[in-house]
Order: sequence, then structure tokens, then C-alpha cells
Amino acid sequence: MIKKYPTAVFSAVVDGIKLSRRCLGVAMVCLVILAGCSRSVTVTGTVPTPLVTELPIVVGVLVSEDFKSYVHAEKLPRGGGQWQIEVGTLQTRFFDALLNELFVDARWVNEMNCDLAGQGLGSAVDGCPQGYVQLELKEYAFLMPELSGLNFVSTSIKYQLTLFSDAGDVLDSWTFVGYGKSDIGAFQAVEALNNASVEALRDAGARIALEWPKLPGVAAWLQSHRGTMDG
Amino acid sequence: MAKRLTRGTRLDGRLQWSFVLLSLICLLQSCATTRVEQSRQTTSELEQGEALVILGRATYNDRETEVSFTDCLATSLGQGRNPIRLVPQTQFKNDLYPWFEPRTAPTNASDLAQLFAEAGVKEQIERTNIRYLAWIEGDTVTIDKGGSLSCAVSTFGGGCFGMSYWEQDASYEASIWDLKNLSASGQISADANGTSYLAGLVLPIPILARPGNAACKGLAEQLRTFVTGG
Repeated sequence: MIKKYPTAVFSAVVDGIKLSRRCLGVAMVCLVILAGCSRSVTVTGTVPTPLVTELPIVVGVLVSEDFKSYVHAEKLPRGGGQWQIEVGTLQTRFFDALLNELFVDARWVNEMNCDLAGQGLGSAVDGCPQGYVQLELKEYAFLMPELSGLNFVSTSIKYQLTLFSDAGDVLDSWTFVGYGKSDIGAFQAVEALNNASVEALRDAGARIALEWPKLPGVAAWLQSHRGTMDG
Repeated sequence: MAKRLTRGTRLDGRLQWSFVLLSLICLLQSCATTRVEQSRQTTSELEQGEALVILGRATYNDRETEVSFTDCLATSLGQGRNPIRLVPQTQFKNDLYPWFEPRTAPTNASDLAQLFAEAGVKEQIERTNIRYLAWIEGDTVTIDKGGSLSCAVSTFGGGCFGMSYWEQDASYEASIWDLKNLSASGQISADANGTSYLAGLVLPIPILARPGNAACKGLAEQLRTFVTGG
């Protein structure tokens, strides 16, 4: 009786292996297919309310329709698959919240054409923005562990922020990059890419909030309006 | 008369033995040795209603504190004897955005005074009654590995044969900042080391040491003692 137990265990193991052979084959075929498939990511996340000193300025915010619906499409080498990453929706909400906290009023406009008094652009008219900021997404890039050899996903988003006077003159143009990274677990590439993209957005927002007002052209413009506000 | 076993009865018996064997495998664990050290600069402790925030120090290189480790710390500190009120890391970073992003977070307790001078920061921290920040730095790395294990599947069956091992070292440090006094309260370090094995006896049998988990438990207990005094 006792001698039968090891044999029974071995037989059970072999039966189990035979049963799982078919499942293993199906799983392997699925993995091969998935590796070459396209993957679509809509970047989602929380939009925090920034704790920043409010600038007593009314600005018009200019962004293109491409910015609001930006999708990055890329085919990765070495069988990395086709990726489509939609960041337009979240970045629009994010920068709307940021700019509305950074300025006393940030109005999203289609063009610099505020001329309420009919006296031409640049006239200091109540109700018109005191300047315009144009935000453009220049480049979105990401790096997966299969290519970098590291154990995290990293993303970088390059923006250009241009400051215009109320008359439409360029006062400052600043190109900067927001960077983000996220650890990756098994079968969590999409989640890691989402998290890294959100972190890159937050980094870009932090740079706008803390670094942009200190740029020479921007600081001079802010000071001129502070002087006007103070009388 | 001896009862003749039917095919169904033999299959049920084999499945039962397989279940027992797999359960025993899951219980096997290798050992990890842990060392915890503490350096204290102040004697203040958490008062009633005050909270602690655990933050993983983020860097732009390839080594940064795993989210799973800070989650493990938060879970350990929020349970057991003398549970501590914790503010989740994500909520804290959102409430104080953009002051605790990887690029903007203070790197030294001496920067706290400047941070608290920024609009809204002091009020937000007072609103959530956060007393201590615990910055966690470190990671778990594989320092040695060896052996050989191979698995094969064929039309006649399959299995794994051989033995491999890997040694891991988990080294973490917690820097505790007192937000009431705007100063550093102390540091706690936890080092754990262990060797895991993977034996191939037809089925792969893992015997895991889990030094990261051991470091988490050791650091959590010492951190609890540090901030509560008990």
C-alpha cells in the first residue's frame, strides 16, 4: 500500500502535464499573436489643483485642435508592436486646471483678436486678455524595457510655451520637456505607460508653475503689469 | 472481498495528492537575515490625531524605491498593535502639487522652511494634520546567482530538472522629517539578505527567501516604535 503512493503521485503529475500541454500550446500561440498586435492607450489620471501663487494677470490661452486630441502613433522595433497613445484629452484638462490656478483668469481662445473698444489690438481694454500664451506639444516619446534593458517605462513630452503681448507681439518662447517613469510588472505595459505619461504631464506642469514665471522675458512682462496694477 | 478501484476513483486520488504536494511547496520558504539600525535626533512623538506620510524617493536613474515596498510599509503601519494614521502618498502629492514631484521635492530637511513659505503649503499640511514625513530610499538587488535549471515539453511529456539559486540584498533607509518643528527627526536603516532556490523535480519547486518583505517588516516595526515611542 505504502509503495503505491510515490507511483500515484508521479502518475498524477504526468497526467497533469499531459492535460496542460494543450493549454500551454494555446497560450503560446496567443502570446505570439499578442506580441505583434497593436495596443491603444488613452492616458487617464487625476488632475491635481496646483498650490501656486496666483499671478494677477488675465491671459488668453491658445492651443490647436491637434493639441486637444493629440495621439502618438509608433511602431516599435524588435516586435514591440504598434502603439497608439492618446494624451490630448488629459493634457487639455490638466493645463486648463494649471493655468486657471496660475493666473487670475485664463481664457481659452481661438485667436488673438480681442478688440472690444474697436481701437485695435493692444489697447488696454477691460475684458480683453492682457496677454496670450500659446502651448504646443512638439514631441512625445516613450521607451519600453524591451528596448532600454531597464525595468521601467519612461516617457518624455516636449512642449513649447510662447508668450504674446496683448498686441500679438512675441515676448518669450520657451521649449521644455516633462519627464516621467514607471516601474513595470508582468503584463502591465499599458498601465506603466499610462503612469509614466501622467508623471511626464505633471513634471511639465510643475516646470510651468515654478520655472516659467522666472524667465527674463516673462518676468519683465509680469513686472510691467504689476506696475500697472499698482498704479 | 477487496474493493476494486475504478478509474474515476484513481483520478480523484491523484488530484488530491497533487493538491497536497502543491500546498506543501507553497509553504516552503528560505530564510532571510535582517538588520535594523536607528539614529535619533529628536524625542518628539506622534500626538493624538496626527498622521504620517510615507514617500518613496523618486529619481531619474534606473534605481528607485519600488512602489510595492512603500505599499508594504503603509500596510504594515496601518495594522497591528498601535496602528498609525497614514495619509496615502498619492493623495499627499496631489494635495501639495507641484511641490513633491521628483523634480521639485525637497531633498533636505533644511529646505522645509522655504517650502512652508510658499502659498498654501503650510495651510494644506495643517489641514491634514500631518506630523511626520518618512522618505524611503533603497531597493532590492540580486547580488549573486547560479546553478542551472531547464524545462522541456514534448509529445511524451515534460518537466523541469536542475537547481538554480539567486541571492538578493534589500537595503532601505527611512529619513523622518518633523513637519511641526521643520527639522530632521532621525534615520532608520534596514538591511536584509537571503538566498532563494528553484529546484526542478519535474515540477519547478520554488523556495523563496523574500528579503524585501523581511526588510519591510523590520523597517515598519522600527518606524512604528520611532514615531509612537512604544
